[in-house]
Amino acid sequence: MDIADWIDLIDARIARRSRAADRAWAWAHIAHLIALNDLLTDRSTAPSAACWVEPRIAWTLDDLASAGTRTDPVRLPLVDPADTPEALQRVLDRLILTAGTPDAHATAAQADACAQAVTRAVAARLDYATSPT
Amino acid sequence: MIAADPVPAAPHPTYGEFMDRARWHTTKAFQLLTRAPMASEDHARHAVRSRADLLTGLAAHARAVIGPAHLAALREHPVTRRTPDPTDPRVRHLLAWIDALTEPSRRSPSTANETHDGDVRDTRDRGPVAEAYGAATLAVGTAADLIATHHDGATGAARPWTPPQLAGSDYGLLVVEAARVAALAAAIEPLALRCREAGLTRSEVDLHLPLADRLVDATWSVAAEWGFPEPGIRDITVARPPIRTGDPAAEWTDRIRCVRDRMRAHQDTGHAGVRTLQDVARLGTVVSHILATSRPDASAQQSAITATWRSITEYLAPLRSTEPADRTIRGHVERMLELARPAHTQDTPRARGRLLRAITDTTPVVDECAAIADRLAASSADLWIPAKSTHPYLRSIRTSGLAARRSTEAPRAWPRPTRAPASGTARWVGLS
Repeated sequence: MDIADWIDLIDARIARRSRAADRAWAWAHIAHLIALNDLLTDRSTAPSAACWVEPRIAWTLDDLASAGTRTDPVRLPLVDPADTPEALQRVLDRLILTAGTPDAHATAAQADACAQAVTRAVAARLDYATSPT
Repeated sequence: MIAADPVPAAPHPTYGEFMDRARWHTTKAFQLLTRAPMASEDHARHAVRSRADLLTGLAAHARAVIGPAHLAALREHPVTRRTPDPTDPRVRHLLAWIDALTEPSRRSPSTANETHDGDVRDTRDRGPVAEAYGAATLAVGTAADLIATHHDGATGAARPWTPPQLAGSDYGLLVVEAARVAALAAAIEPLALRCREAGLTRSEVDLHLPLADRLVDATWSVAAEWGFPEPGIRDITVARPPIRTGDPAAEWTDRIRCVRDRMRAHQDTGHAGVRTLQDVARLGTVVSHILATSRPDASAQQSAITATWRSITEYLAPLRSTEPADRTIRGHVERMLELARPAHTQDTPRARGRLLRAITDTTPVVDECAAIADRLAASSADLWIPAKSTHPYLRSIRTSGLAARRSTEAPRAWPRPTRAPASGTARWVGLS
């Protein structure tokens, strides 16, 4: 599946959720799955650069859940392992966009968690893209 | 028997918690005395002695929070900018109260468990009242020790990292906390009455609990003069050196040691949640990544360590727990990731070099954290293992609709990383 189609397919599944915090959690969940999978399947000498992504996104998931976000995980379509770097960066882009979108219905805790998610995702994306491998 | 302590144990108990604990136990002793007579003369003597020990402990507490040198200066009444005029009623009442706490006429009775030399042979059967007073004395002493960590032993001055509300506060604010405990133990009734009921003679009761005891009046005078302590003072916990935030290498070293100390604390309690173990694994993985990518010449040796961290991550990934993460460890790990990220030091190569050196030098600390986590993961009964996932990509991550169940067996031991063989110049090679 083409990456653009892959993202659109996930986007269609996530867009049904009404709250921005729910959508942010869903994107973060997918980013975490990909990063964790990348860490576990990478067989090179050094851990994959996903080591910069997985912790931050895991903490983002915890913070969003602690802020009261309650939503189901998304079923993730298969992605070619060769496309993992691009897929991960695109998912992080979506996470940054979604978590950065103001939501009038969000609680203060959820707004804080979303803001923190943006900060972490930006740093994770930059480190993933620039880290030596 | 004393009921369970009402003050919950915290990772870093505060001064206020210890003093609350002391007041609770003192109140408990008072309630025991009001509700039922003591079982024997020996219990009565133990109760009188424990009360005297508590008052002596409070006096020691007051001396500790004021500082011996400062107290001596107050008694010798030289008037300077730092030692107020002892004719000030507040100071005069304070000194009188400390003297009343250690009133020489309030002598402790000898008990059946005491030898002729004054040594106590057996203190197991002291009675519930004495036990309660003893627990209060212990809490008061611990609170004094906590405050003492903020003072330099030689000069008595506050340490640089002492919170400003303590360093800049008046000593009386802490003494008031002790006075609140003393107020609960100062009255000689109903202890004197219960001692008479238990069989002590009138002369013995008068000797150890003198009717003319002025402690109650002295305590109320201190309370009236000094008022209530500031809430911020009660939140002070044991002093710890601060994190040096100016230099990334120094900050990394300080934070990794804090993580190690927290893991040691978890080791003492025998438990750490799976989120905390995952955070330790994340730290190890990032350190391994940094070392492998910064020293390509030794990457082959690093590969075994990397593979081990990968297996640790794989082992922990499917585990779930309702227990929250240790916020202290998570905060340190998150900040350490921020320090180690290439973008943080890309404009300062020398700082980057020092940071890499610090990361290399602290690999034994990471080793120790991993070893502790190994033991905790092997002995933990609080890890929750979800049912097996069937999705080919998700590798047992998907949990929706799957009921978690408690493992009936302790999980297999955390895979102990194997240190790669060290060669002449490769001393930096470690677990990470």
